[in-house]
Amino acid sequence: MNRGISSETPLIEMSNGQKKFGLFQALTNIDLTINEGEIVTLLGPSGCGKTTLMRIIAGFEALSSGSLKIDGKDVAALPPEKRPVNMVFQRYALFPHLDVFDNVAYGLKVKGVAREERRSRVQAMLKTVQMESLAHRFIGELSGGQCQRVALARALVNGPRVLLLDEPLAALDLKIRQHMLAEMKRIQMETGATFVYVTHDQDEAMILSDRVVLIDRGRIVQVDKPQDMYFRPRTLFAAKFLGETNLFEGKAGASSDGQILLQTPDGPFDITAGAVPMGGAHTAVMSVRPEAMSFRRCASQDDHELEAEIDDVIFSGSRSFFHLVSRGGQKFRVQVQNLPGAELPGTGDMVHVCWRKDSAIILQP
Amino acid sequence: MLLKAVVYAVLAYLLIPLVVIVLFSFNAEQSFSFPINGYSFRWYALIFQDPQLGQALVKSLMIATATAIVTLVLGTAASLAWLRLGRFGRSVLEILCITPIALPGLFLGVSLLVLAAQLGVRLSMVTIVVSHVVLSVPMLMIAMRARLALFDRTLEEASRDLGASQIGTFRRITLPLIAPTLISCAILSFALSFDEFVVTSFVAGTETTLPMYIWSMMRRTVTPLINSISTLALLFSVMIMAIGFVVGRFKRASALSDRASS
Amino acid sequence: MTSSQRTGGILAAPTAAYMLLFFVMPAILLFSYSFWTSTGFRIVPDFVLTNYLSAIRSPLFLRVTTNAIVIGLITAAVTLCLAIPVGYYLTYVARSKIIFYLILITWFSSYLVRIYAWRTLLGTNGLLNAVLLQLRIVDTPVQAFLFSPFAVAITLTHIYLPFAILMVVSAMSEIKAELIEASRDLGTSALGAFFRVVAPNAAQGLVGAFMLTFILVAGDYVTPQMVGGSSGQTTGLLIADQFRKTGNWPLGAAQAFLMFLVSLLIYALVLALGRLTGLIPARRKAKPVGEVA
Repeated sequence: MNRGISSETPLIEMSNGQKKFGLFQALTNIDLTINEGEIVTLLGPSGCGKTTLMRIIAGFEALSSGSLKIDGKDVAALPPEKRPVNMVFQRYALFPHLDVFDNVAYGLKVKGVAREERRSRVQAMLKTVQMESLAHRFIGELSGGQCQRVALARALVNGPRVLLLDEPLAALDLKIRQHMLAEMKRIQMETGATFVYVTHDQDEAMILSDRVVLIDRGRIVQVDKPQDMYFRPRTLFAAKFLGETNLFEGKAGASSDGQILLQTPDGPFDITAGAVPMGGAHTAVMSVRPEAMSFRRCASQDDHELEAEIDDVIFSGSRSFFHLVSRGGQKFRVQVQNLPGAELPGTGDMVHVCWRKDSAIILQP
Repeated sequence: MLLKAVVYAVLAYLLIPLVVIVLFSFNAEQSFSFPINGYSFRWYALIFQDPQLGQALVKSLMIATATAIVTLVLGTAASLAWLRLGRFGRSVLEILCITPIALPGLFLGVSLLVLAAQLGVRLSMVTIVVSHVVLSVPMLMIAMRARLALFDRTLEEASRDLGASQIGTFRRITLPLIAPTLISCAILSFALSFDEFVVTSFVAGTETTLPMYIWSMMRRTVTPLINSISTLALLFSVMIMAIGFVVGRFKRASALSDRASS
Repeated sequence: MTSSQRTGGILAAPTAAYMLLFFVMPAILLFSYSFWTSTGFRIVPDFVLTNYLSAIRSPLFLRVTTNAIVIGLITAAVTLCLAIPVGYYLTYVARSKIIFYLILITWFSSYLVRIYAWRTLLGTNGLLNAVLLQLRIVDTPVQAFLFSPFAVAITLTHIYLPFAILMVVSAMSEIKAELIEASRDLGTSALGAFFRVVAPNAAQGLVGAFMLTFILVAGDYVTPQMVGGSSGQTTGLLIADQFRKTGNWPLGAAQAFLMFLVSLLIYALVLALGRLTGLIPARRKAKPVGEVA
């Protein structure tokens, strides 16, 4: 991670941001602070408003109400060309009539930077993105990954305070995508720019970001470090959107020692993490990640245990996925690391499934 | 195979009359005979001895040039407008600018004649140019619409994001990208105007353009002189097409790279 | 309205104004002329239906209009029948650039030159007769080639076919070749694939090509006059003469709008016929559910 670079100086501050398109409420009550030097991901399903939020920061859309400050200044009246931000577009938007060098030089040229300085800055930036040997290629002659590098260079050469990236890897193959993620982290370290990264891909978000901003239907549902977001989701949406999880539904009540006790068809589970209204008809959901579960008898008081029958086994190289049905009729999945020679149960076997209590989290449905 | 045969038969049907004209423009004799008995350039030589023909040609060239320029200016503005308008605005613009193509030249000709009479405007080369622009704008809009549908508007956003103003963006990004199509449209307008006859015959007044002069010759006699004029006109059309083709190559290149980047 | 739309409005204004002034306004003016009266050398604003009535009561008008419609329908049908195979070939079989450019050359070759070429080919002293005489197939020149409905149809088809081919190509290019392959794979013949897959999807474009050809042909009065002789008299010629020789402009305007009305009726007829035979889908299908949002 980039803890060394990020500081606590707020760079982008949006408060109570609202955005309407006609009758459609695209963004509701957005309060968001992004600090200098951070990599922040705006994560959410398509249509959740993350791209709109980014376009508002860039200046292509205006807030319906609320305020947006960049570097302490209100930017509502500033057109895109006057803002200290630059953007990497989803499909790059590289100028097809210019070559790589002129694309990267574009921003400096329109700002009237002198020719020599322009040349040296562009060349340095092309070197950073490892494109100096292709400087005089035209855009039509580049591969997707190369276009991506040029788009990054074209934005970064202007020395923006904030670099906005709109799903920049969406158009690339899986392999190139992983490589480019590593590249982007390196480039961010070298330039020290603040990155605001829009994606619907949870893996990209977790690999890249210092903080993840999870957005659902126009609202921010959680802002956290990736680890916290993954292990301590605060809503069912967050638990389901990041990674895979098993959900056990039941009625929530208080246990004798003041913890939450979830009554399920498979018996009671006491849970330490999460908070939900208790008593009466309040239903709640327990979330346990498949990789937190294993096939063994409980060793201590710190574990939860369940008896279940294996319905199906899916082998997937390094891991195997087991589909199970508990005695209470609950369907769930267990993920096991495959080791050579390890003996694993098969379809139709009755097994004990065990997990640590602190890997379970209770959420409101 | 049957399909291929039909296609080649249709091509033969389209091309044979043109080939015959070209061939017989070099016929040494006055009347037709097959096969041709001798070749000569005598009919071409006659062209240059006809001062009226020369005048008509000059007028047609002037009218076609003016038409191309006016169409280019209007078309550029309309194209930029089309990119920015909403669905409704686009429909209005398209209906206004494309409908004339679905009307016979006769209809456009007499309605413009009526307008001129009502406004008390004297028919002249100006009225001819005005009518030719009405004919060439629809063609330009159809061609531009196909090009603009491929235009990636995030390119304009990217330019603004990198610090260029609206006008700067227009000059550095939008115009260079749509220019090849605009120029080939202007060339086509030129060709269309140069050849236009029906509408012209209503709004020309006492002016005589090249097609009108050819028309009057056609009505008078069947002379091989018309073959040679026609051949030159054909050659001219092919030349304009070739220019349009070369420009179109650039257009294709930029359209291809548009697609590659999107 | 966004600021970019406002800029768009400003940019659209000159062209829109031009077309309003020189296309819409003249058309409206011509329409109002059709209700005016012409007395001697003056045209007086009025509101009478005399022009329309005298037009449809005139046997000459009815005869030449029928003639124009027949020529228009036949030529448009023949043109479309020739344009479809060529368009199909250029879209799906071989994207031959050479054929495409040869068609463009024909399109851009002069209108009058093409009429003249057919006169040369078909005339009494024309090429066809010269060849036939020399080959001794006939003893005296055949008069009937030129100045016949046949000559009119063949020339008009020649003039409007290139444009029709281009329209058919653009209608077909929106239908992917995979659709045809899928239909062949599912057991339809090549011809069946055309009628079941291509035609319904390209229906709008094909009907458009037919109608545009019809309107342009039925309104073309120069060609029929030049190669059709007395058989080539059409409404267009009548209208043109009103605006040139006789000088009864209101009558000419009424005749022009009657012709326009006939075109609209034929358009409705073609659409109805297409729907009845099932070649045109009755309604555009709703978007698939997945495409919402």
